Amino acid sequence: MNKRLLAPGFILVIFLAVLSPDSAEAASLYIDPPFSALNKGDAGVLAVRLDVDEDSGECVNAVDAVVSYSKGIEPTDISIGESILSIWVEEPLINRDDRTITFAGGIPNGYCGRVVGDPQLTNKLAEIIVRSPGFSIGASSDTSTSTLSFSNNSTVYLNDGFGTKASLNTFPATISLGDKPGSAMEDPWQEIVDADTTAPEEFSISLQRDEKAFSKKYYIVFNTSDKQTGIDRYEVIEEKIDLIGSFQWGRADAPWVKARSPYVLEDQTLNSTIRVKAVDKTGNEYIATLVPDESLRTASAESRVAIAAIVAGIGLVLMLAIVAVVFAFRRKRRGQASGFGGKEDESDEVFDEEISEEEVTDNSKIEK
Amino acid sequence: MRVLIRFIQYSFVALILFPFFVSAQTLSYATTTLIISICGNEIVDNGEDCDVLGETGVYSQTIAGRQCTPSCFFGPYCGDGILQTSFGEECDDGNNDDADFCSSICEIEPAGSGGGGSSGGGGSSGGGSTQELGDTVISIIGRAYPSRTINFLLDTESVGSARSDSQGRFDFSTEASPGTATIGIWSTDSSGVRSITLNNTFDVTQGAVTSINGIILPPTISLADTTVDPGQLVTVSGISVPETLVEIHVDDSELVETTQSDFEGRWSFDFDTSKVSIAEHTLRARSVIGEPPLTTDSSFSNSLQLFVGVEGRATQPSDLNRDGFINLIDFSILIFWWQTDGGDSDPPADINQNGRVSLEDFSILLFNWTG
Repeated sequence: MNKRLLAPGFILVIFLAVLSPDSAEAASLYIDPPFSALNKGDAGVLAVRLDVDEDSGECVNAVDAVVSYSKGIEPTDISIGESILSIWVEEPLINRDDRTITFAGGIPNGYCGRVVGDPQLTNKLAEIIVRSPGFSIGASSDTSTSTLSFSNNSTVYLNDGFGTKASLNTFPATISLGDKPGSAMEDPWQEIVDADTTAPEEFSISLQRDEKAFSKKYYIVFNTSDKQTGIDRYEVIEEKIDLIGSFQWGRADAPWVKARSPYVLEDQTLNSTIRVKAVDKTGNEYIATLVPDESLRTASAESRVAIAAIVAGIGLVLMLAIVAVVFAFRRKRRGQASGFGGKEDESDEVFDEEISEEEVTDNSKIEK
Repeated sequence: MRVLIRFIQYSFVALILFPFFVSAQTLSYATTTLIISICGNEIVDNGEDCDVLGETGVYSQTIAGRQCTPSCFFGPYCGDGILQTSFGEECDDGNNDDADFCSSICEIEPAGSGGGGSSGGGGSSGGGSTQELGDTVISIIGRAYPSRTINFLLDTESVGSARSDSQGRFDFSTEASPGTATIGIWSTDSSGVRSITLNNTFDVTQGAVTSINGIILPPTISLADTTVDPGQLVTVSGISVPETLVEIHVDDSELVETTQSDFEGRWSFDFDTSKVSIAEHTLRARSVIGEPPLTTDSSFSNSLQLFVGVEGRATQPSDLNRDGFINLIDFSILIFWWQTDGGDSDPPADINQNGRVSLEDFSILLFNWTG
């Protein structure tokens, strides 16, 4: 990125903002720097920034941005590490077919402009990492400049409690494309990624159920940020509580599922430990864990089968025990009977399982 | 040729600067000015005694050896005029002189000792300890309603609260990660009416104390009645910083009424609706502190809808799960109904009742965010 062009370019943005007749009492979306240069194979970082009309006390709280980019450059990544937006309705997405970058997010209670004394502008919404394709196959070589501009669909909302659209000015950016290969194949974004050794911010998981939404199913809510390279993705794992000892979630082949908040739980019986992993662009991660409260847990289908099997087993054992007791009792009775008239061994063989009425009668006769 | 280029350059610069001069002259109103001072950037900003990276304010036995604390004030030292027995001071007369009944190392000198003697060495605690980087802290100082609990959000999550004094002054500090941060501040008045959440977004410097001074929490605002007949008086009231001017702005500041808050911060105004047309109007308030021309305005309060001679329905609340908070859970429910008509959600996810759950509703929810 040609830094010599940065300063005058930024001045030009201010210049345009001040002179533009429509700029009074309007928010501004602009790309910084407005003018830059890329040699073939080089990458650069362009910041999407937001200004509000501070004089009128304007605050904004939601942004829906659509950035179009022309041929000659290819966006390779989007960083939200330094974004002032903390809640994302639509995380930044590169649509290569229609050559647009879209994102929508908000800042609770609004953004009201730069605080005097702040060493930074602190108004970034996202950073677009673009690369001049160089000599790669399919790269166009017939363009000398490329532009990024906001489409008319881009919208900013005032923080007024009524969802009012703010009057909006947008300013594009132009990139001069050199026809020579970059001397050092610059990639400032890669340098930022390599330097990030900090995990995403700590966060917690909130377990919820709503009478109207998500079909009354349990779902989890989570959100965090990474102030260096930004959150790349979230992953969720639900691990049966009785499998905790196996350390399943820490294994390389653990079945983490890519997810976003809100996430409807697979295990609606809540017999699983829930873990959410936030991973930044570098791969640093923070894992939040939630063990559902025991009072909320219900028996799962598998556990119901297991309980039924156990009950059946106990029943069978009890039945066998009863049969054994009855059998032993009758043997004892038989033993007593043989003591009065007959050999015990023979009587055991003769008496199979049941004693006939006549024989009992005979014995009673003998007793008499 | 070179002269021509120079001429073009100067013309360009003049052209750029001209609008600033013009705009500076035409600005005739005061606005809130928050000032950030960064303790740890080695620049002595407003409100700092010192700013020396690595010093920790350990006790020194000399004025020269006094050290800068992590909050950018000088640490305790012999000669600061404050008796610090915990550091072995027997006295502290505000200097490091001998023979004045309190020695240069803050030991009592017997009366009549005359010269006192140098008492030999003293073995001070040694030079500055080398601390690589201190904690990264945000410090907030401002004014709100008197004797109320002031709540603080850091990046949408609650991080604690502080109690304001009888003048409404409060201060609060919290640890933070370096980088972009947003501090939200809100409170409730004695009637339980919640203030707007006042947001400030700025960059937090690593290993430094980033102080935000000059915060003024906007007033709360309530309406005795939201639907009134034309010409009827309606009472607008609330609480602000005590003993300040309160401005009530109607619609887009087309009409501005003023009143004064009392020593407890209470303010009230009977608004004459004959001054406005038969229509729906919005009312909001702000505090003005100081005397002209040196006044400082707060941001605006919540906006209230007032229906004068027309039937209307105020914007629905955003507490979609009715738990008393507006946070990520309400956002989740909003996302569930996203781009639908809100179904049977109650309260409706279609907060503005325009038939579709969309960014407008998202914006209203973010406005009402409590964390």
